[in-house]
Amino acid sequence: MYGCHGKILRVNLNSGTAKKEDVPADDYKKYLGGAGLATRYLWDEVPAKADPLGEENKLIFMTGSLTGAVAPSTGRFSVVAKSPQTGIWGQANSGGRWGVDFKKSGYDGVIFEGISPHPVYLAVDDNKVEVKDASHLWGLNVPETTAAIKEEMGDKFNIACIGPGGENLVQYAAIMNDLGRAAGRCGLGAVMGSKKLKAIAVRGSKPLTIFDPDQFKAHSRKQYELMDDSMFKMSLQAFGTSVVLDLVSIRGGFPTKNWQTGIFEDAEDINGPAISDKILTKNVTCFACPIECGRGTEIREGKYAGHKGEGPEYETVGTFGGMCAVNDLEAITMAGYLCNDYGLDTISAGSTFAFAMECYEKGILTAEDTGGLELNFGNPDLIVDLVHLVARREGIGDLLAEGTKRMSEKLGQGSEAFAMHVKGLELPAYDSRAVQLTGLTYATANRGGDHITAYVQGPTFVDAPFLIVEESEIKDPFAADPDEVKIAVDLEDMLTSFDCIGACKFMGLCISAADWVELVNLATGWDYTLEEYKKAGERVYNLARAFCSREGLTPKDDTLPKRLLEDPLPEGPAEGQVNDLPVLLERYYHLRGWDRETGKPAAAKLKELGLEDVSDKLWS
Amino acid sequence: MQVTVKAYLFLRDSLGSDYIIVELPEDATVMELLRVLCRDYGIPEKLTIGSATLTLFGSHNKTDLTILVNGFNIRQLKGLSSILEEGDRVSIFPPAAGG
Repeated sequence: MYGCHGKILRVNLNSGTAKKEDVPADDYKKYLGGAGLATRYLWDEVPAKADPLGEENKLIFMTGSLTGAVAPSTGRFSVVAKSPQTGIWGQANSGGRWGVDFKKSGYDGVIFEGISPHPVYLAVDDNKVEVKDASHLWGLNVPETTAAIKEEMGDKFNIACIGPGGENLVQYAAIMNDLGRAAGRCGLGAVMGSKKLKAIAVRGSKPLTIFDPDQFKAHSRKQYELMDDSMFKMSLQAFGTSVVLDLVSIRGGFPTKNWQTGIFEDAEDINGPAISDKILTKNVTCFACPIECGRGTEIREGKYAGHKGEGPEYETVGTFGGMCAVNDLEAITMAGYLCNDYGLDTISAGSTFAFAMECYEKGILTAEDTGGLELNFGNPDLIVDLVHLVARREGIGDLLAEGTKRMSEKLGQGSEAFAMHVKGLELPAYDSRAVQLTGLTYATANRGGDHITAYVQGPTFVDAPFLIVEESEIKDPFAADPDEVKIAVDLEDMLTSFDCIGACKFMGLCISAADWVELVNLATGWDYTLEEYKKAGERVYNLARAFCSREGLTPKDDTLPKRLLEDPLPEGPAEGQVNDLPVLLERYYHLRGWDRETGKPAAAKLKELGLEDVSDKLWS
Repeated sequence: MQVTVKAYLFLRDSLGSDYIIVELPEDATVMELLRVLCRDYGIPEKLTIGSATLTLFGSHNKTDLTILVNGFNIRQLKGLSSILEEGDRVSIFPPAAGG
């Protein structure tokens, strides 16, 4: 095989044994590798209604068909499992270098099954694969774990691991790699913790075999050259992902005080230029990336001065900053560092803290519940303290570790109305009341309240169209226009393919779909046309939806928090706006070919996508 | 009439201060505002940022910048022909994406 090795590892944690197995070449092509291939294994192997933190769930790491090939930002990998947060399809994706180093071992991915009787880690040193005891590592944070394994195995090993967040089954625990990169969403760090799997350490020397290396190199070089002149590249490089913060805020869609308003008065204290001016020390780059949007930072002022690390990303600033109404960049940065060290998803963490603050503001949580801690909005030290408490499940942290949905279910008293999650996954830092189409994509994303399934914020919030779809221009952000629903569907399908091939979705802004298909074909020897490639993305999207349906998802779950549907934004350009979903959902189901009554992909659609066997099981 | 203009990101230092208040004739358009910024504030019609060149305003009512008036993108208003009013807040961005 070209572009990939055609082999994966299967690790039985019950017995502590590992074996290698072949991946059917047809499956690799059909699902494009990465998240697509992993989703196929999930569908086939995890029984319906399995406990996400139980023995039947599987944790699947999978590199993409371009992971490790040198094209713009093609070093990513996906992790797939049934999510403890949502109870449906869970997927998280990460960059850095770990995915590339894993693939160098000669394996494209690894499936973990069962639960180890004691903490272990997997060590992969080319062909030598060992399940090793990790009892001495349990309790260590991410930097400590990384250092300890390197000490044992050698400095050339690259480590993906969980910290205390995953060990303590925090619902939104992340899997960390390269110290500061996170497969953050859907609580897959908790799945890893439930399996008593502390880390995967990998070192490899196997080169990747590219189908047409000369043509691939030439075509790839052309894309790098094209990006040299891209303003999107330059702005992301200079200001990081927070480059968008001002635009979002000025449009009145920067969620503030748990989405009570969309305007944060102190936005300029925490925006991209503030990060560059106050804490940036160097850009951090993922494999083969021409952008280098990662922020290498050091806190220089205040009580956290002297701490160094990676970030904050836009979403970290949006959740710990805007949602918690904290204008102290140093405290936000410290909270982000601690999430990296403990292994927590910053989006769900900051969002959950904001929810707790509003509960406290409304008297639903009291000082008695919090052990005397005052959960007030705008308190910089509080967000730092809460990260410690949540990761260790101490005091009120034990409740907050359950995430917004479960907290609201426990607390009741009307808190469900402002529990800002979809399907159990906390929403990111774009208020969808300011742009209707964003609301649709939150309601329909397979993994729940997620912004990068469709990444429609490019065209909706920041005036940045994607080159990977034919049309992505939004006419009126406040109009729920059914004719624009196709933009969401096309973006979902195309961006799904990025999680399969192992490329960064930001590259969809700068490089066309045709060029991506060309790169994939030259690397793998496949013969995808653009239409067939889009269909592959659609196939994976529908397979993930089928998994969600099988786990009990219905159309009533394709919705938004009551606040977004009923509480108008109180100020700013989007004043008076709420999300108008029904008209968009109708068209969405129609375009998707999904059954309106059950929400399942219709049998005809699954057949069209070559998923007849999935249809048989789903509709039997 | 007076409008407030603020530039962001790579353009943040281009106006000489955090924001400026610009005097314009009644019913002036965004295009006329940009012309005033070039004439009176020394902003070049073609901005060079790294290896990219951004045109402030060109033919066919087009600009390479993202411009908002009171938080509304002019692309969703009447482009550079959008008419300004007393007290409007104009925000000017170079192309940017991420998040």
